[in-house]
Amino acid sequence: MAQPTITEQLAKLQFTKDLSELTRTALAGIAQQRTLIAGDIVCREGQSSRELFLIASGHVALDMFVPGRGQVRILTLGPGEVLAWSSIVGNHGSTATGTAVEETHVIAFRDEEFMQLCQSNHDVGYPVMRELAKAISRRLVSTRLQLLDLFAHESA
Amino acid sequence: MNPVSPCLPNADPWLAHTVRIASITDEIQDVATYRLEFVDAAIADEFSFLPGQFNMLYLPGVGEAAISISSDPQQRGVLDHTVRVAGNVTGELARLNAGATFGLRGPFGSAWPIDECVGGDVVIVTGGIGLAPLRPAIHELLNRRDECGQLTLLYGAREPSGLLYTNEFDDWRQRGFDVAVTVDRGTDAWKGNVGVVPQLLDRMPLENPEQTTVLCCGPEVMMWFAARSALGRGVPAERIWVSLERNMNCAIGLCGHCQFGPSFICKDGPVLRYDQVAPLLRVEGF
Repeated sequence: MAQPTITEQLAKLQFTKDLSELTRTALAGIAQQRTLIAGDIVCREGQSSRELFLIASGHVALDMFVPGRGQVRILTLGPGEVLAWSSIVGNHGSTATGTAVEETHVIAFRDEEFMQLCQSNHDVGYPVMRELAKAISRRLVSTRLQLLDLFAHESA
Repeated sequence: MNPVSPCLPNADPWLAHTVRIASITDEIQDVATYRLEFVDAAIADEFSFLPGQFNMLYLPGVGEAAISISSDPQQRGVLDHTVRVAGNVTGELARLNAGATFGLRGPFGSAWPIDECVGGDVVIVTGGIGLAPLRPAIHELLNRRDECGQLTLLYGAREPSGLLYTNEFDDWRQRGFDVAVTVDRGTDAWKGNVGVVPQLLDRMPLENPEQTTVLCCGPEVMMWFAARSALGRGVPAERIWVSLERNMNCAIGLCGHCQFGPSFICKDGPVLRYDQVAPLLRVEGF
């Protein structure tokens, strides 16, 4: 069975499925497909990150280092979710380490090409940045739910 | 409203039947499953329940507690109740051993809409001990597997040690349920997903959202966000169902302890359609 093209994958993934075909085609033009095996590091906490990743299949775990506790897993990301957005909306410094937990297919966007595309064509840039904001919003809500510790009363 | 099953035909709903603890299975810390059998064989033959209903467990001299039934509705003669120690009755129950007897009234309340589930896809979204009231629905959907589309269980807990029924997941998977599990806080040994349950719903592909039924049980904030996610994915509000928990005393809608707006959770619930309760779910005091 033939591997789906980037454009075909973008049409199905949550982050990009609601974008216009024109926008998805533009994104596909600067994207690269990459296959990770379990244990591959996608981005490393504290180090510079120059790519935004969209997970096409598989899962990537995010860990943060806590002195005295070591690496603490804070989140697992799956298909349709983005990671390493510090490369786009931050100062390029990764705030967590992303590790593939199984064979994972990602679609990678170089930060300079991504920003160039969004800045040069606002018809592409605005909806893409809006989707990125929605993805960050979803992540914020999930983090709030984790903070609420909803099952705390069930633990001793 | 969802159909409500009657108690035993012609039975007095105040009358408790004597049950014996056949076995006790420790599930997780402070949670155990009690397998009960009726002392009266005639009652055992006659008793039936629908997925989502509950019984009042009566410990003489201590009191009563409403506990969901967690066994397969097709399994006759015995009843499972998964109970977390949370008060006087459940605390006393935890001190009993197999062979002990006490009283049981029921079954009470509304049921998961299994007949409305068949023919489409079903997503069960639950967290912590909220899986217990949904376990009969899982059994019933598996009993009717050929009539259903895709079956998915999204289950979360605070940490891996808080996950119920983990030894049954493989069986459920083999019989047709796609089971995805997550925990809010991972451990060094945990290799599974870390994150909250609604995130699993955000992520999963829904091929036919308008023909998908969502059954939800857990903390109300979790259910609210799960419903929000389902609605955002195109699932109709009338196909989203939640199970609510309130202080149930009489179990037949007379005492008013479990009143929730115009509904009594013991009589009209605990399983209610989301669009009928959503306006009150985020209101303080309800």
